[in-house]
Amino acid sequence: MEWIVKRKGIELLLIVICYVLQVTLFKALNIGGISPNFMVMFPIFAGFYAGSREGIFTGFAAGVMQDVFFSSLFGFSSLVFVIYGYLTGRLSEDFDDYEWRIPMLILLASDFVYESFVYFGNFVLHGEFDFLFAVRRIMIPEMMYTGIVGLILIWPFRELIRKTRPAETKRERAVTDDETVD
Amino acid sequence: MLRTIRDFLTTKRLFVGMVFLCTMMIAASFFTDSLVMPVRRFVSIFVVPVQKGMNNLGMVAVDTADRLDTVESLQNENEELKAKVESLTEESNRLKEDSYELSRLRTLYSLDEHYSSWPKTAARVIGSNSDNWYSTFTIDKGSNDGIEKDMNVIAGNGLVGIVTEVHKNYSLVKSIIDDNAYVSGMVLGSGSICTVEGDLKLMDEGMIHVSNFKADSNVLNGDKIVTSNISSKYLEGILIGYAKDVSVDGNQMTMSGYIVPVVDFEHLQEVLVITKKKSDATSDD
Repeated sequence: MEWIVKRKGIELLLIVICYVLQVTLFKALNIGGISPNFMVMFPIFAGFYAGSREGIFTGFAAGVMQDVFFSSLFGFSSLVFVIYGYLTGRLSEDFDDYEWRIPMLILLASDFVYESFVYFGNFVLHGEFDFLFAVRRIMIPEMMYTGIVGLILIWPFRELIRKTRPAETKRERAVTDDETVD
Repeated sequence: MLRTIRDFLTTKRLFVGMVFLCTMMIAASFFTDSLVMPVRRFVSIFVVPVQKGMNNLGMVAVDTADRLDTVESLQNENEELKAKVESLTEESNRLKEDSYELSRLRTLYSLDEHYSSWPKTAARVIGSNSDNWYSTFTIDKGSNDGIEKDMNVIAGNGLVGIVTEVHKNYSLVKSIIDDNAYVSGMVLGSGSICTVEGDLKLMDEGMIHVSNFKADSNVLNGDKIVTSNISSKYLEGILIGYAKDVSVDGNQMTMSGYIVPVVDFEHLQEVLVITKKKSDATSDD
């Protein structure tokens, strides 16, 4: 059981570090006013390399951080990220441990979908705001920037998961998970 | 023990449980802040001190990038500036005379309500919004330093925004370029009242919207727009920016246009919080 505590501790620490980076350093290093979204990476990468449970856990924690200071709808990001983590974990069972293109694609799509939700939740009520502008000026640039940062972080993240995993392999664990479900 | 919990909490049950929990959190946040406040207090213990340090690092990184970028343009600029210095020295002499006259006239008209006389406290910007949609930021002063909700925030000579939330050692500030921000303004001189509203679509132009002028107002490019006397939250007479392209709307009743803000929101590092509130100011009189 020790490895669970260890891994979860490291993940929480990483989420806090990335959150601080997101609201300070990367706000300063913005490109055309756009900064990357670190938080959405956690449920995707953790879900893909460590399974649904880890995806749900990191998704919840990262969502709480995303919302805690600057959102009026506390829990919204957590909800989306928990669903991301679960679905990515389910999907990952069909791929091997070294696959990286699939999680990157999921990451890009996820960031886009998440920002669309935020847009519809916050701006549609304003009326005059148009979606195409938001897509062109905010969502796509953010998606690209998040993708670049994700590309840098995906390898260390996978290694971290591999280093802190229990003796049994991922596929075996996926099988035991399925057994407990039935 | 852990084993039994893990066996009971199958992935599917865990998922459904977490989705339910998040939905409850969202539902609760419609009615009350009491759920998010303890979480916020807990997280801020770890995050706020780190943020202060990290933000300095961010500024160093930006400064270095800017410096490399601009060596060449600086050389050209230097030439131009040298020429400008001469003309400015001359102008400065003239202005000194004017300023002497101005201070004399001010005393005469007892216009000492100018905002240089308000009590202020300096604060450092320690973090910006976690997403790309809104323009709110945190500052490193809170209720311990006497900050209160609805205090006005300025930088240099212009209005930055307003304090929306106060915690022990940090506060949240909503800037006037935020898509949700509305400020009642007026044209310095003529006193025409208008509404200044932030607009995400203008983020590239670095401008904000101004609207609701009466159709007969005469607003020229470069007119100073300041916070109005009828605003309930903003102290009167804080400079917001300069009017640009104000024209009559389609309905022929109102005029609208843009404002070029005096504050450089891109490079905001230190702000001044005016520790006097409009509500106090009016009750004093």
